[in-house]
Amino acid sequence: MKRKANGMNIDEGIPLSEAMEFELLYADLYPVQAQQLSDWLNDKNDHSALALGGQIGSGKSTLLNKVAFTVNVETQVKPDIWLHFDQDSANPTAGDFIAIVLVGLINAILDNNLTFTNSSALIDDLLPEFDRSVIDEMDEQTLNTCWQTLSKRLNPSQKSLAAFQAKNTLIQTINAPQATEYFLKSIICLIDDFKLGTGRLPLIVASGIDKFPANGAAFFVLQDILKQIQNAKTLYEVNAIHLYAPQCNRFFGSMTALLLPRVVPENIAPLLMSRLGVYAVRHEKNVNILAQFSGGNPRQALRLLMHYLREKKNRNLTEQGVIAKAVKQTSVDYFSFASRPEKDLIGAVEKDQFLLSGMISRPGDASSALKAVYGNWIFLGDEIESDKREAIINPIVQGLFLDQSTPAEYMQSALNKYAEAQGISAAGLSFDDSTEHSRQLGFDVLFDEIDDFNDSNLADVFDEISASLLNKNRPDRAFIVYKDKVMSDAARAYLLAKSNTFEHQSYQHFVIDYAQDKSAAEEIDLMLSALDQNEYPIDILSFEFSAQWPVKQLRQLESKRDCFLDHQILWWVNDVRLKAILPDLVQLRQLFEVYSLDDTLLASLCVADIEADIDYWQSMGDKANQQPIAELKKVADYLSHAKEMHNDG
Amino acid sequence: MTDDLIKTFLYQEVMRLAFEVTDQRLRDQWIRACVNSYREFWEVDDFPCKNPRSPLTLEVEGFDMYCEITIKALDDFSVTIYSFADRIEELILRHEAHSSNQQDFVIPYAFNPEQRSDAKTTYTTTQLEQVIDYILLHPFVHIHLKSPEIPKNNIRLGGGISNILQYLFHLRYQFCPERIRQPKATGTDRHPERHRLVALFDDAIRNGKATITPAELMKIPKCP
Repeated sequence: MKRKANGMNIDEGIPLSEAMEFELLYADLYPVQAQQLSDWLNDKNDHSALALGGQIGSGKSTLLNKVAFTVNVETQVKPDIWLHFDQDSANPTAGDFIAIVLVGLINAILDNNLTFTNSSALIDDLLPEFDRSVIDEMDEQTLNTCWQTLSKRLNPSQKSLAAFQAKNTLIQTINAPQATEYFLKSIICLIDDFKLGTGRLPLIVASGIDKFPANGAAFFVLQDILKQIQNAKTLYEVNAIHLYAPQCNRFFGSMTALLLPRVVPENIAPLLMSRLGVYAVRHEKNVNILAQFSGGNPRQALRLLMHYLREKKNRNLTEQGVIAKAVKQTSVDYFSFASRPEKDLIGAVEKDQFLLSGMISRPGDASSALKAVYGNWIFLGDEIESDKREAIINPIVQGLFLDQSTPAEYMQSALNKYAEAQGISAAGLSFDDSTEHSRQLGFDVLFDEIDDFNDSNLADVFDEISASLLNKNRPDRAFIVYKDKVMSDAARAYLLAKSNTFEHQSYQHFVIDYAQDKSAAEEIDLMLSALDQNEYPIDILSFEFSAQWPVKQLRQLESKRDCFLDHQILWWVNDVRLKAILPDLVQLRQLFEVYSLDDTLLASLCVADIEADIDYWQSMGDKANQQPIAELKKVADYLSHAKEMHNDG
Repeated sequence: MTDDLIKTFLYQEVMRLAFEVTDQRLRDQWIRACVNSYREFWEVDDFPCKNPRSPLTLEVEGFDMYCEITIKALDDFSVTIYSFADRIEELILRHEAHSSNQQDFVIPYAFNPEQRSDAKTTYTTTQLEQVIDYILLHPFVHIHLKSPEIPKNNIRLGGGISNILQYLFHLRYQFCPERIRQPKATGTDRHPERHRLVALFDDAIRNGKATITPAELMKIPKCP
């Protein structure tokens, strides 16, 4: 992502990975854990496994990238294999996960010019064209070519339908009932080959495990594979709940675990200030308040900042109203229609400010502490005692549970905490507790039900997403929720046309049709890889799953979150559909904003304006404008028709 | 040739090369490119202006201000600037230029070919710098906006500008926070934008170019 040296750098909280990003934006939020991680990576005699855990948005990937990057520069120790279990698995089967590990190990052996000794049978097993009878006549180069072919077939870089079919055939082979055990063992053979050639164990980073809930079927399958790679020196990137859940205890419980606790808000504020660059000073007071609402979660802090900057442009809002709206929109993005924890649990945490390990690990339904921690309803802090962790209710949803508070009381309490932390008087931050006053300030929105979307008109949605929609260099993602299909077509035409306001941006809308044997995750993989191969890159990807897709299939996209990182995406979804899938998209919605379109476009657009836009584009006489002009004509037609209908009745 | 005459020549050249776009289509393209460049030049997150056709509403993130800009012709426009500090709206400036009121009586000096050639070969970089300051970066007659948000002398809005393209382009520089337009002082590169503009116009004048395209003019300077 293109970064600015002195100005603002706003995004949805995507992991930092480039040297310039670290220099400009990295905040040392976890110095102790960073040091422990670095020590572990550098200690060539330490072959133990390590689990790096943290709640969603805590900054695990950034910390990992930063430490690996620094290690790379200073000591030349770097991970040999970086496995991405979330991005590279089309379906959550053992075969998919084993394939990811095989590819990683095969490539590491090839890259280091090592020999396949213990694992040579694999080519014979998985490459049908390989002729074992002539293996003795094969020179090393030909043999290596076979390994490369196998690696490419298991993870095709040029993803086409044929490549997918070829990969699926191999995965079916691995998934065959008697074969899986054999292929699991072959992982150890490859690790041995690496060790034989280099004299050391491969250093593996197993990332993306955090996207699979501990009590889910996918994680159950994945565990067998994770056990095999423990034979190398392996770092597991997991969610905090993986360190507590009974399903994982036997595995992760035996290794060193680093848990990233929530950050104190005083350390979140500088992170936000660095994102504002030279513009930070005039936002300082509000940044401190946003930091309080972040609950110490860096990604949530960034999402709050993003919405705050957008709401600031709404000149009808007071200063506090801007903050309140930012908090509301962030809670809608992350929590609307999510499974809520029990009020008793929230009440207990509110009162005690801690959670016992036994309570977190207690298996249960949606109301359990485990789910609440996984969903970021509760943030875990530092360990108080061996079985007790500091815990707080996520401040942006706290208002939903506190019946007795008025909005102003709630805000006063939040600001008192802020004043206390800052060592200043809370007097200047006081609120009148009359309902009317709090409404004027805008804080009553914090108590609105977040499951009732506040419908936005199209012009507002455009304003909200314009920072990325108009900009090739910034890929953000949004769910656009609609009720009326015909209206959504016109709305889409408007947004796609507008995306060309300042520079030519290519876009494509896909309706992903359903067929019985299709997997939603595979369809996404295919679509994204087809785009990558386009002669001309697609800047904006707009798509919608057809109504026939089973909800269960769409929920499988949860683990594919990071596949969308590099793409500007508008995902169109009917409101009924969204309500069905959102509760299970805890991870995915971290990178998506949610906007619900109101029923009519007439409220925010008028035919005359659209026609003036068309005239303007036509007067430019640029061929590249033909597509946006055609889109605007669709909008004008829709509006004219809607106006007629409105006038008629 | 006197210093004044050389600067007059350079003034005319800079205006002709960059800002005298009479064709409406080309002018619209120019405005679109300029408005588009604000975002990158100011290093802000959102686009300061969402619609490139008149009337424009320009959000100035650095100083909590916004401008409403109405354009009828190259020399017929108005710019109204509002402060929005502390969420209180206040009109702080209205700049108007009208071509039709017969007040445009200043006759530009007409150089003959020999004088042009003479000026072209004798002008210095310092003279060109002074002209660029005069037109864009430090207008000779200027207005300071008073606000607690704005450091003293940080913004100099040209008082006598009657060309909308010149006005929009000078806003790009004037509304840019100091630390972005003059990043860390490193020797002679304290003013990357001035250096860029001097080099751009110098090349165009010496090589007798017909025009400077919006894309060339709106480029972002490379900071040290």
